[in-house]
Amino acid sequence: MKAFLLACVCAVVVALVAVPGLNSVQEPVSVAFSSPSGVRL
Amino acid sequence: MVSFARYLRFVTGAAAFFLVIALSVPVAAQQPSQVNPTASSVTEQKLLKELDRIQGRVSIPDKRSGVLEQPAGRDWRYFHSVTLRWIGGIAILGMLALLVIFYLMRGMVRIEGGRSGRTIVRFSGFERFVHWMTATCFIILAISGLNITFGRPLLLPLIGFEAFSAWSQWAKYAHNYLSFPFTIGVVLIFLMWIAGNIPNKVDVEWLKEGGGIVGHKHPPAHRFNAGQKAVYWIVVLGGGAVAITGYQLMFPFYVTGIEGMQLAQIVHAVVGALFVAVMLAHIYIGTIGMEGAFEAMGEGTVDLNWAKEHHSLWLEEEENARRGVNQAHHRPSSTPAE
Repeated sequence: MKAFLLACVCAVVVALVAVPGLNSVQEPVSVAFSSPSGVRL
Repeated sequence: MVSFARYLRFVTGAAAFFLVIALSVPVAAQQPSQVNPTASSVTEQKLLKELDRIQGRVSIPDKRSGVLEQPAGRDWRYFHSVTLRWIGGIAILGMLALLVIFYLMRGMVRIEGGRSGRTIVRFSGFERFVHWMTATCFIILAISGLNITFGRPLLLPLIGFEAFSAWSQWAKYAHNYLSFPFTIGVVLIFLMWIAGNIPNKVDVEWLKEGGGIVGHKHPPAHRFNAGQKAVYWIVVLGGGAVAITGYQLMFPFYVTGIEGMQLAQIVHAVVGALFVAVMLAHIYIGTIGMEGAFEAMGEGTVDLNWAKEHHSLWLEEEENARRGVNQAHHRPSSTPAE
């Protein structure tokens, strides 16, 4: 039970640490899937 | 004289006619058989049929914007909105049906010798921590992933647009962010248990005997039997595949173009759906399918009789190791001088 709870807490902590990192690298859909002239296909 | 002039006019006219025909034939023969994409009269459908895509030249740095239509996208759309639903539905519902039938026929695999009351450590605290971190992330990733494939036809009619939209947005966040602890878990599982999961001759015998699950025999097994080794490799290879393809989708155009991303999505979705089906079987055998199995990951210990029946070679190794340690403790550290 202790291992399970610790695992859940650790998963949440790693996910929260990933939030700012991912947000700084990942582009919004409107940017990632478009080019200066239109949509990327 | 008049008739001669009429005759001359007829001959001249005929010659002119044949000359026009003769000159026009080579021109017709030189007509290209392919579609001229720059012709103003060419239809879009004809272009697609001939060229597989409508693409032109652009002067801006992003050359991808020159692609106007890519019919492979239509194939991909058909795949993820029709074919994938069939593959996922058959795999997951088929596995659930098989497990229900198996449970009704075989019931829970009991410890035949009964509980001995003595236990042995099966998994350390760190091993259980890694297992549960990967497992809890997997469950959330599976539910949020299945929502992408099945949410629209199954959930949307039940909860409505607003609730489905909000739920899907949060499910997508969870899917993205929990992919990191899941990937860490898969890597740790690979490193932690690789030594015990190399296939060997014992596995062949175990499989021939039906693993003690189909029949009532208890074939010998080391720490991990052939079934557990199969699950291990599915987790490592399947988990690796969904992680790589998932990150490819999370960062569009970083690694591949749109066709590579469509392929990544197909691999991600198919492996993910099969992964869910396999994990259902893993969860079944670890809970209601086998008496005493859950304790291994729940408390870290198993009953000695459970270990004797399902992992007899591992139990022998553990007991020999313990005996060796005890003998070393009882042995005098130095022999008296004669």
